[in-house]
Amino acid sequence: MLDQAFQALADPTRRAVVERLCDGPASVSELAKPFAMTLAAVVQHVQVLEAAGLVTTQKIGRVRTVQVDPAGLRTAEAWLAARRTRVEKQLDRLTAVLAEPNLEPSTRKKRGVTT
Amino acid sequence: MTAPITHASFSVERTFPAPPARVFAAFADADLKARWFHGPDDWAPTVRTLDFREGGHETAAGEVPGEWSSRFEADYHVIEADAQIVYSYVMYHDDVRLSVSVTTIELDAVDDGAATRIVFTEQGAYFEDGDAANASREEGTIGLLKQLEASL
Repeated sequence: MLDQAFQALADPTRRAVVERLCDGPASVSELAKPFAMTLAAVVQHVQVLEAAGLVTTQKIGRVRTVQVDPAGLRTAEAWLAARRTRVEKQLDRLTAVLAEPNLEPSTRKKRGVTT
Repeated sequence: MTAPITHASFSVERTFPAPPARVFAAFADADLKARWFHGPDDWAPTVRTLDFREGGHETAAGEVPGEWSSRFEADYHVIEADAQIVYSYVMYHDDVRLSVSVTTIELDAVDDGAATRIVFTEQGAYFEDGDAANASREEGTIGLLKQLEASL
């Protein structure tokens, strides 16, 4: 499921659809408006997102409404955040190292040679 | 028995108040790199080598004594001074393989060269067995897999 979520979000159109849906539910035809593509193509993208657990759809009468599935989105975000944290912490430390003016390697090496 | 693999990618962008040559040196110089590229505060290094050139290898292994160990084994593929670093690496936790990843680090001078913006991107293949080890041990990540199961 997680792998499907990341593959679904690897497509820029589908990311745009998810971004739009974060503002609120929309019908398939509303979703299609900003994109130069057919309704059928939008339906396909929505199906991929739905299979990945990122959105849910509901058909009321003749209108299919699409909305984000917060649990699915949170799962993908939490998983990535855990991996991102390690890099963030290392870069925080790098910031601290760079803030020390006397630690440029060229300076240290020169000192090493002359002393 | 073979568990499925999760594929994912993420980017972290930072701007440092130092010129690109200085930021690059923090990756290229073994002493400087050892000061920031390590585990949590109670983590102590056991093996550290850095052969910073295309085709060169890096090992950064360490442990929180009596609790867990980690090992980062990287191979450098692209090195362009002050501009670009690309390496692939395997990450181990208690000798369980967590992931195989490609990391790209792109450096750009900003603010007339007084500062450096870096984009750190990682694309990885994450193994489920390793993920379980990672979730239960590394940085006390709270039962991520349980949360995962619950929400799927």
